[in-house]
Amino acid sequence: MAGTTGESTSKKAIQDFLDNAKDGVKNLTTLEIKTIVGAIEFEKDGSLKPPSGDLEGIVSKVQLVSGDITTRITPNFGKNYAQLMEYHLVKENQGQEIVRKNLQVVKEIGTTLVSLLNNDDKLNEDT
Amino acid sequence: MASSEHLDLLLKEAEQQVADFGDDSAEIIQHLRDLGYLSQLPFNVINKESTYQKALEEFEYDLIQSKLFSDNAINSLRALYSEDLAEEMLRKLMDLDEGIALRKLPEMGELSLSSRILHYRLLMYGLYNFDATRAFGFVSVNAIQSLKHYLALQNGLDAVNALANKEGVLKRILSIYGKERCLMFIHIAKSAFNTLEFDPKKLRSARDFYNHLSTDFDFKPRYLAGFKRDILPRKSKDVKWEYVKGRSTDELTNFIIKVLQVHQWMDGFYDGKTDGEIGSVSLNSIADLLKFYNAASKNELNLDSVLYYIGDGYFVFNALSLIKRYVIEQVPETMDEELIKKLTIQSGRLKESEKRTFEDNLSKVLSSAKIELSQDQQKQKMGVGKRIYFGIRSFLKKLFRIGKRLVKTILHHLKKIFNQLKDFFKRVLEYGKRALKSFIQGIKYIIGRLPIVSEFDRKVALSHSEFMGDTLSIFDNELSIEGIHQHKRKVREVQRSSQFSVAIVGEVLKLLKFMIKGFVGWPILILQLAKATRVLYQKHQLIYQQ
Repeated sequence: MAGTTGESTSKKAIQDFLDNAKDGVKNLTTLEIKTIVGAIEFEKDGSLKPPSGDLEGIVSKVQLVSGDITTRITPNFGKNYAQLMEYHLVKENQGQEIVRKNLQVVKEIGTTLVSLLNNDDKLNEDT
Repeated sequence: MASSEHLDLLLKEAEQQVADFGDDSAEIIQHLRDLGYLSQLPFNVINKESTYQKALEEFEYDLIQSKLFSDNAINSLRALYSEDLAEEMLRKLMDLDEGIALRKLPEMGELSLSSRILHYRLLMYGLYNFDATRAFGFVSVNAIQSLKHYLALQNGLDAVNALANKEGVLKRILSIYGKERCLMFIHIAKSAFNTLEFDPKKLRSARDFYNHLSTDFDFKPRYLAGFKRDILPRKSKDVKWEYVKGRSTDELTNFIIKVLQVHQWMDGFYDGKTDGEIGSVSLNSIADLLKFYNAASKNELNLDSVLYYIGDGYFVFNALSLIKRYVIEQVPETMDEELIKKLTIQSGRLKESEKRTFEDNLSKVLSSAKIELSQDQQKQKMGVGKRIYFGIRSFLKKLFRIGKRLVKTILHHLKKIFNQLKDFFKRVLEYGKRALKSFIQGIKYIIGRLPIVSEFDRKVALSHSEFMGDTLSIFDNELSIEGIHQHKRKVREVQRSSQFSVAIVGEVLKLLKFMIKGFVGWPILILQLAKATRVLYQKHQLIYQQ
């Protein structure tokens, strides 16, 4: 954890985090919520196979800037899976709130990390 | 937010640290035993895990039924503590320092979580001698009557709730009975003298005892002149023996000693029974306490300044000296944070060679704390089941007094404070472990490796939320309505706790500064993490209270 190797690894980790955060925020224009129903089977190693056969579902795309929402739904989904319809709509409503909260977190982390990279000498002053 | 190999490394390191904590159920086992959810007998090794889980589930069921917390509060706490909810609530309910107020006294014949907690409190203050699983009855009512009398309170519920704040109890005793009642007259059979860790015959310095007493009493010559004449005369025949003997057996003295024993226990110096009788265990624990204070202060306090041997097995103990330290000393609300801050800053300023010794010493204490956390505490001491105190504030207050000397004391006089430091770490480590677990969950959430899978009657549902909001849910077309509900609940819980975990990640990334500087290792990092978690818990609770 300590020492020169730790130092360069940590700086790289900070830089990676910041780069990823920047890319993530830049590409953040659309929010996609998908709820799918189908036959689920397992692989031999216990992992899940992608759902197969007739699929039913609902997909919502939320434009974060304009607030427009586009929803596509298979014909019988609402009738056959009312419970999941309700679940999907809740997820759709929560999506924007989650984005707002997480952006705030990214901003806080990013601000701290940028100040760390720019101000190495004063690192332990606020401890 | 694509994954990063460096975050992966951090994740692995954190997972290894969590694995290193090992089993830490000793505290919870003690609490479950105290409330009667587990038998007092040592565990049968074969079914230990299932017995423990069953007891915990029973407690959680009673907790929800008890309505000690609203449904909203329970939901919010569940988001906070996730699968550790029962353990955390158990800790809060068993706290005698900043404990939780009961809403009402149980009905006659009631056996509930409230009745168990009430009996536990009365038992700890030596007012009740039965099992916590006994229904609320006449014995309980009588114990509450005595308590009301000692604390001069009209309302039984107020009296029982007062016990959840041990400092408040001492303050009340001081305000009702005055400082004079804090001079304790104690009798110990001469046959027990050989179990004392000091020689009573050396406790005969009337001058030292009197001088210290006058300072504690803020120089009240009238009372003290009489005390000096009647209790500390030059010749033993001039002692007012009738008064000494009477005071050594009166009920109030007995109760005040019980309260002091609770303090001694919570400070890690006493693990005997709270029976109100100062025997050799109690006197030895007073001697230990003084040694600890002396390690923390330049103004040493000798045993003969607070304990005087009158003769014939009778002692007078200046309890005010201890009470003043418990009650009157002011410590900041944020003392735990202050303490960890001091540790970090001061250790960072040590010379290279000192740093290594400091780290080694700290690691020794941490290892010892981890071992103790994993042990089933069923030891016997002086014929009494040994009860370990696991709370944090008492230890913190005590360590806080060492203040600036803490790092130097760890460096040069580790032995003197080893046990107290170990007890402090036991509790801090709990936070550290949970913080690390949250950190792992948060990182997995951020890098998109936190799928939520539910299985019900061999049919599955899977949900996956990206950090930036995209969500994919797949349900088997034969999954029942109940299975759907179960999955929805699980998703809700994971998402709520993930918000908290992400905040922890933020705090952990801030700690990278320590790694960059390269002057601290895991002991200090875990302490820092524990500190950050406490702060975040408080913030989180505020959010959910809105």
